[in-house]
Order: sequence, then C-alpha cells, then structure tokens
Amino acid sequence: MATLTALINGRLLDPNTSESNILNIVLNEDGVIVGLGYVPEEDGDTIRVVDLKGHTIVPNVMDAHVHLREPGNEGIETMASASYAALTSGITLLVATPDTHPPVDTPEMVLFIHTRRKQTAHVPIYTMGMVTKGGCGQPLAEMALMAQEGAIGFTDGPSLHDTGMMRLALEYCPDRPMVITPYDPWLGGDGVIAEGALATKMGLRGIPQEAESIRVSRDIALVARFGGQAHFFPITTRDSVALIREAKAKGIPVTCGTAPHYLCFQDRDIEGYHCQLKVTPPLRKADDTQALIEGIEDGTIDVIASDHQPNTVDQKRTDFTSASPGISGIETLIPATLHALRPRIPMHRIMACLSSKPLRLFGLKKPGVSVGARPSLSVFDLTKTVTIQANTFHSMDRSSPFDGLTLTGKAILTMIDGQIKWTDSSLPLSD
Amino acid sequence: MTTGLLGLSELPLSTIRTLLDSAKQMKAHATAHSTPLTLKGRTILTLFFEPSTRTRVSFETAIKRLGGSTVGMAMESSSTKKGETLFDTIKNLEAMGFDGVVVRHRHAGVPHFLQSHLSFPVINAGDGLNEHPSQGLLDCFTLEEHLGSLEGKTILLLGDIMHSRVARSNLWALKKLGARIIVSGPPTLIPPGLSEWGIMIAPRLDDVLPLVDAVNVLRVQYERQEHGYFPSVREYRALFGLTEKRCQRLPSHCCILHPGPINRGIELDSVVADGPHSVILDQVTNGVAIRMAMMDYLINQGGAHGDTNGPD
Repeated sequence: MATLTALINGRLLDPNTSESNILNIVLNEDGVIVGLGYVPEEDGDTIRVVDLKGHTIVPNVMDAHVHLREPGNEGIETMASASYAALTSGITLLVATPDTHPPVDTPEMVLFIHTRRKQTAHVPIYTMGMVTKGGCGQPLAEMALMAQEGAIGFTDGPSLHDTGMMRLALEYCPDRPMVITPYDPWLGGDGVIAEGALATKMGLRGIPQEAESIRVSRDIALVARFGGQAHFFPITTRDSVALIREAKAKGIPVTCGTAPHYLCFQDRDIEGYHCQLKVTPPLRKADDTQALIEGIEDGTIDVIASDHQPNTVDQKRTDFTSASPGISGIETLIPATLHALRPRIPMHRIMACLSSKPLRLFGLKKPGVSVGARPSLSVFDLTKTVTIQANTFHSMDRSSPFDGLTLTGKAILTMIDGQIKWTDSSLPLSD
Repeated sequence: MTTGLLGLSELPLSTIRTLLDSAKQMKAHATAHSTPLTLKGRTILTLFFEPSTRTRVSFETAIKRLGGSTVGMAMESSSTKKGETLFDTIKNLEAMGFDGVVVRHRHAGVPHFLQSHLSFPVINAGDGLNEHPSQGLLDCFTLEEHLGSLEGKTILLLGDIMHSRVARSNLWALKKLGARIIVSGPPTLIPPGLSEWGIMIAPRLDDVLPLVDAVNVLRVQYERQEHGYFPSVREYRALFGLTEKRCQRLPSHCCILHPGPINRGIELDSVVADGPHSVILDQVTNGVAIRMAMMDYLINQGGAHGDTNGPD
C-alpha cells in the first residue's frame, strides 16, 4: 500500500507571477504536502509516483458562476453531474447561483445546499444567496444569516430594477460581493439577439447594448455613493468594459467577469438560427469581443466563468425565439478560454482569472502548493488538442456551441484536498 | 438535403427569375383553363400557427389548380395546445407522409427549424418578423407587370418596416432585381442596419413621393400604438398615410400596392385603394400564380423527395 504520493516533473504555474518551475510534490496519505522538490527514496510499495512529464499544475481552478438546477430541476442537472463535469475538466470548485426551485433565499436553504453537496458532489460547491426574497426585487432576503451559514455572495441575477431597492441592497450587504447581471428589461424589451443589421435581417427582436451599460453605469454610481461591492457578471460590451475600467481607476470597489462564449462567438454566428448560441446577455459584435480581451489583458476584467446554464434537449430543439437561453459550459470553460486568449495573454494571467482572482473576490481562503497544505489542484496538458464532443459530456446537458470545434488544452489530473480524484486515461497511475 | 423556400434573402437571383417567369406562364394557363396537373397525386400540408385568410386560401387554390390536394391543420385546436413540442408535432406529421408543408408561425426561423428536421420541402408562408417570401415574389411579379424590368426603378416601402415580414421579403427581392429602395415611416418603426444594404430612409414622406415608381403600403397594426411606437392613428395618418391629397404628388405611372387587409382611411384612403394607381387586386390574382410557380418548382424540380407517394 502506498503511503506517499509523489507528483513529479510538474510545472507549477503561480497565478501571481510569470514564473513556472518544474517541481515534485510529495503528499502523505492524508493529502498533506510533506515535501516539495525532493522525492524520498522509499521502497516502491510505499510511494506512488505520478510523472506529470512537464505538464502544468494550477492550484484552485474554479468556475465562479454556474446555474446548478438542483434543487427543483434535477432532470436537467444535479450537483453530482455538474461537479463530475467540473472534476473531469480540471475545475476544483464551483460557485452556484441561488436561482433554484425553491431559491436559496434563507439560511436554511444555504444549509441544505451545503449538506447536499457533501452527500453528492465531486468537487466543493459554494453557493450564493438571493438578494431579495425569491429574487422578486423586494423585500431584502436574510443576507447576514445566509452569510453566517456560508453563502459567499449574493445575486438576484439581473440588477434590481428599482433603483431605490438596489441602493438599500448595496448598503445592507457591505462585506460580500453582490453579483449583478446588468440588464435593463425595458430597453431590452422582448429582444433575443443583439440589436443591429443582423437582427433586422433575421427578423428577430434586438437588444441594444445600452441595456447592459446603462445598468453598469447606474450601479457604479450607487456603489460610489452608498457602498457595497458590485461584481458585474457577465459583461459583454465595449461600453461596459470602459465604464468599469474608469470606475476602478477612481478606486470604486467594483469588479467584473465574462464568459468564454462572449470571447469565442459573435452575433453573426447565430445566422441560420443556431439555438445553441442563444444566451443572455446576447452575443455581441467582434468589436465587443475585442474590448473584452483588452479588458482581460489590462486587468479590468477579473473573472472568467462559464455561466453554465444547462437545458434539456427539448428546450434547445425548437425555434430560436422559443429556445431557452444558456449553454452547458463547465466542460469547455478551460479550453475555450485558452483558445480565445492564447497567446496574446500570458498563461499565468489567464489562470488568475480562473483561480486566484475569483477566490479573492468571494473571500475564499484555499491553500496553495506549500508544505503542510492539503492542496486542490489541476494538471493541464496545454499542448493537447481536443475536438469537443458534447455527447460525451458529464453534464446532463450534452450540447454545446463548441461541439465539433478543435481546441487546445486538456485537464489530465484533478486533486481535491490532497487526494487525486480523477486522471485522464493518458496518465496511467502506478499504485 | 431537401431545400424548401424559406426566404428571399437566401434565394439566388436566378431562382427568383425562374419563379417570376414560371408565374407568368401559370397565370396564362389559369386564364386559359389549361393548367398542367403537375401536382397530381401530391398532398401538401398547410400548417398555420397564426390566423390567415388570404395567404392560406391562395396557397390552397394554387395547389388544387395544379391537381394536388391539401390537408390543413388548425393549430389552435392541435396538440401543441396540449404541450406537444413543435419537434414532436412535425415528426408526427412527417410520419403521415406529405410531399410538402406550407407553414406560418409567429416566430422567425420556424420554417428553417422544420426544414432541418424534415425530408420534404418547407414553404414559408410567413415567419414572425422575418420573411413572407410568396408575398415578396407576388409583389415583384405585380411590379414587373406594370413597370417592366425593375432595374433602376424606385420603390417606396411605407409604414411599419420594423415589424413587417412583407417589407423584409420585398427588400431582399427588390435589391436582387436591381431596384432602388426607399423606406419611410415613423422613426420608431424603421429597424437598424438598413443603410448597410444601401436602402435610403426618407423621414419626410412628402419629399420622396414625386420620385417613386411604386409605393408598397404596409398595414398599420394597432398594437404598435399601444406599445408606444407612435402616439395615435390620427397622427400616423397625418404623417404617413397615403391620402388622396398626397397621391397627387405621385408620378402618373406610379402603382400602389398593399399586402392586405387594408385599414381604409388610415394607411390608405379608400379613394386611393380603389383608384387608378392601385394594383391591389392584381396582387391577389398574381398571388395564386406565384404560389403555383413555387409549388411546382419545389415539388417537381427543387425538392429531393422521391416519387414514393403514388403515381403522377
């Protein structure tokens, strides 16, 4: 029986620096790192050696925005299925939105999520709570009690439409991020695609990009005057990036994130009524994609998360207007992000948006790779090309706009709290 | 793969030309009661998820004149009301073995969705705001009857362009046929992007009336007023109604089209609708000829469906 595990010849990527050194990590049977660098010469029976062959180790890779569907819609996705999708994609932590049925708007529901996650999930799942009861816009939900039970942030999805309530919510909730999808439903109307010539051509109702940026602007003003931490997710337009860049320069405590599909696709890809690309907010223009990449490059954009919104086959197998928005995104988060950003943005900066920055945002303290720690980490083969096959997804939603695309970068090992929980078939484990 | 007729934006000019020429023959055959029964033994499904009178009757007449038969589904009373998905509805209907389906739906792209799952041709009879290709073709046919070649002719589309599938099908076909297109209507009802296709926007109707060879007047829909696109029917008529007085500014050869049904006294004065410029009833006659041409082309020439459903 092996009592020690040694991950040898891994290249540790530190999200804070551009350095990455080949190193060996030795863990005891409790998953605690007992040595770095030196591999003790033990009898082969007592040490399990995993040769990482120079592949890249990243600690605490997370998906900071997933819609889980459990409780309430277990026929679409469960904590078990989504977390297994994460595990096999090199994602060691999920942040769940509270828009379940019933919604997570009480401390009891937070407790339920954490209990259920311990029973069924393959990676840790943290949940956000609702800002208002049932996400209905008022009154405020018991955010402080939910925080005591472990809610790490709050969101109603879209920003509160009532500006007065939004002010109260931001004032009341000072020490947890409020995650805001900036959207003005009156300006957006019943649009399903970005407003412009393409919407006109396809006979689909358009959503002007100002439906997003007007709310970004409003909520920045509220935070500047009344406090609170606003985290805008996802942002999709050039104007939003510019507004947040300016706010950050003034020292206003706002952050933001985006999702890989806004980096990889534009509205023109919808031509032919491709329901897989129906998302809210809608896909924008090439210029907006460019602005998002610039925002990631200069640090305006802090987080990249999948905005995983699984659907059933039938919810997508219909006409564009009737189709449900959202994509099954957990399993493409890493390769799609890498595809969009490499080589323009250095790897450690990309990975920071997927690990250290969202960790900090949500105030999560997770150990890195150091002696005495029980690390959660993933190993990626950054040169391996993979053709995305949605029908092999572990998520229950086995569909994707990336289906059939060839992307580069694949997880080959996932360790949770010091234990190897999953390895790719290309990495045989000697025991 | 089977291709139906989903829209004029994707239809090549050569096919548009073929259909317009064929419609001319169909019209002559119909007048002479000598229509060849090219759809004999064929059964076409008409699937109208939205109410329609003239388009449906026009398609059914066209199919029957060619010797085909039609089966109509009143979708208000169908199983979609019982929660059946559009996908299941269409797969069930496919299993019954039709030779084509004429579909109207309030959502853009429904014909495209159906076509991607069906082995027989889908004919779009109006999908949301997107297209109404048979109307676009019959408008072009009627215009050519009165104006000759449309190359260089100036056609005005008047009214609610934003919510009009008739306007869109007209735009794509007229552009391919070489016409100059002007649109005019309340600014709230002019969709974005038109200038990208070289379409001129005329905010003041009176300025452009003397320049046009034809006006296609679109129907005013009252619910647009409720949603705030314009303040009142009275104000709409004052600015964009084709009144008797405004008509005096039109060149004498100019023809006036309307897809119907007309709101008399609002977008079009009765005197104008019944006056010498009006070709509105020609449109209705030509609608049958165009739909005969479309059905004949799709089922006998364009459609890939085999001859498995009985003798011709």
